[in-house]
Amino acid sequence: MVTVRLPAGLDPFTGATRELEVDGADVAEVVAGLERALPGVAGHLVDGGGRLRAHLLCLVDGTATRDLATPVGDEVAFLTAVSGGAA
Amino acid sequence: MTTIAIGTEKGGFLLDPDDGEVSEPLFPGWKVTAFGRSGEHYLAGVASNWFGPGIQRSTDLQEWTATDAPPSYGDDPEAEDAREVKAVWTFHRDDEWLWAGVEEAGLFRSADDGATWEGLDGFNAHRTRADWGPGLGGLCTHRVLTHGDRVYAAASAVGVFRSDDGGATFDLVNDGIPVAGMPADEVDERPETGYCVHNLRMDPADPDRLYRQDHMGVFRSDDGGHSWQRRQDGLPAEMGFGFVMAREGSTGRLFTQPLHSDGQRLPVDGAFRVYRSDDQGASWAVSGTGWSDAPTHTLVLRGAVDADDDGRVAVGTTSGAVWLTEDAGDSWRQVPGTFPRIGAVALW
Repeated sequence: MVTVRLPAGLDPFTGATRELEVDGADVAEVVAGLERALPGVAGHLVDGGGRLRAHLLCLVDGTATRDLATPVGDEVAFLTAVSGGAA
Repeated sequence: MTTIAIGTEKGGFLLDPDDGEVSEPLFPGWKVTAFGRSGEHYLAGVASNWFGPGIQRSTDLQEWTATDAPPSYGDDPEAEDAREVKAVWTFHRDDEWLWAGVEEAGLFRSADDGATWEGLDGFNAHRTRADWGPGLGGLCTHRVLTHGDRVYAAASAVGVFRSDDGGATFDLVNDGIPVAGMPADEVDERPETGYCVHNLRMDPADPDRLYRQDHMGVFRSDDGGHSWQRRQDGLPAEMGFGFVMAREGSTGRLFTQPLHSDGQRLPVDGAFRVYRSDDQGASWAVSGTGWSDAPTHTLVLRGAVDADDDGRVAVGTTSGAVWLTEDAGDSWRQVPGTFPRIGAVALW
């Protein structure tokens, strides 16, 4: 099982779940596991083109990746990027 | 009691106009782009720069639940014309369907109050689709109107579409509308698309009668959109520019908010006023009383207006104010409270 951390901004779509455990060997499988646990959440992490959304960060055991094929270890964290420029 | 639902850049708010009580922010941090009702559900279209679009539903305006299958093109990401739903711009409910207009411009409908959606290929894969281009607000389907099998959809900056077969097929209906930015005598051949419709309303008793706030002015059609005539006498705006068109049901009065020009997009002389027509667009004048004499350089976006059938019209401004009339525009008042930039308003 992989521990997944989700950002607070997703609370309206996760019932304020910030941490859960899912199965998965890579980031894509983790996202699929999240979708099973929290239906609808995958579309808020990955865009219609199958890519990590542009203003999100994904950390696999503390290392950033945008490649959904990245193998996972103990923890996957999705973070909102510090995207300035808009009030 | 009427509740005014206010959709802003940073969340939604529910406002009681009688006592001024305002809810805690709904979906804080999320843009609320559209409101709707379907069956027992209240609906909010939301969108986030981080997380993309979604739909929230509530039956009591207290507890909100995300739907897990919002409108989606479901395109092959490798496809040359792959596109993505970025936000819901409008909901429309009729006897059979809940409709949604979205950005990137598309049309969807739901038979289960928004839980699941189907795209309408007759619109989404229209033969002119490759020629559709965005306005400054994006490439969006922002108004859907229906009457039996008649369906109108307004998309910026594309034009008004009409279907007579329940949405299976659509034709563009924009004859009489000038091409944005081009003097009529300099257009040798009118293009099929490129008409920057800002808002569209229909007389519910006569689906052939339409009212249109366009980039290039205010227009009426008496033949279901096949031809359009300019109807903006009395509006101070250059070209009749503005974003709002509303129709109050009990009187049939029309409302718009004229702006100085395409170039400025501000009220003329800083005088924020909603204008009203009592004669189906033939003439316009300032709507009633109550307006501030203080300079007020703000405007109303296309989704930030709603009217009911009981005299109420509400508008929300880009500077976060809400104005309300409860007597079909004879008098107006600013409701207490200042909100983030308002993009959606509903009277519930």
